[in-house]
Amino acid sequence: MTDMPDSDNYELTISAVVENIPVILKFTKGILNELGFNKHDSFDVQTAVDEACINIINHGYEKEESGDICIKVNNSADAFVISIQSYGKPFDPETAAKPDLTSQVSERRIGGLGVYLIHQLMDKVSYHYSDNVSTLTMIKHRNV
Amino acid sequence: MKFDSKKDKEGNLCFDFKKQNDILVVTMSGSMDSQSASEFAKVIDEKLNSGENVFIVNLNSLEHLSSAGLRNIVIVLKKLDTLGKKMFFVSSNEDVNRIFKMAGLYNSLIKIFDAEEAAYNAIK
Repeated sequence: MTDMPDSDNYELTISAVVENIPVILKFTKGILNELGFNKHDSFDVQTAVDEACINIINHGYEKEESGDICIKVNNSADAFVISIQSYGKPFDPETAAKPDLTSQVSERRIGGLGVYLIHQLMDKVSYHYSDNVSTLTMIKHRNV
Repeated sequence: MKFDSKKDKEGNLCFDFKKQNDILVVTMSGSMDSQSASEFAKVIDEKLNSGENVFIVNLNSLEHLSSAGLRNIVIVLKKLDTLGKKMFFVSSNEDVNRIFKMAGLYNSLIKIFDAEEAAYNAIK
């Protein structure tokens, strides 16, 4: 695990296992607090990061294959830019199943909801796959 | 399994319980994330096993809620529905409510009261 904050760039590399989700969220929350993002923006980013990482853990790496997640944060004056890299099979959030937002509780499936939330909570989301590296980049503009 | 009843400084998911008449009020705080969310179903299972029938779940102090949290809430509601037991939710936390609204759950499939008193009045 590396954790190297300098003035405006932060990076964390950690094993892609569900037990590390709280570590990833604490890392992200610490940066958001340090950069002075308000609690609503912080809440949104935390949820989006959780959804992105659990997708990588559940779909990006096969069960017998373990790998790393690398999280990079760049801060600019008006936006929080977070890139999440993984090295498993490509998982494009755009191709994930669409969520079921209408059926009765007894029939409700929650699959696909995570990706939907990422798009709702973040201002810009893009996915890139190249040389066995998947990169999901999410941007949240700063609300005052 | 031990659940700390006090709010955790690290933001871990915590549960606090108080019994009011025949209703068990469960106050959750901290992060209901992909790793911790299943604890909710485990806690409610324990309480069902010890004979609880009606629950009010207060979400005001949640610092984070993900789709895994929503999924576990829906799983618990389905189970309670099958058993003929009741659960009501309280949240005036706008971030939490926003997630419920995005998922199409807010006051459609899941009624969310803005205060515990309103939930009590609805149960009476």
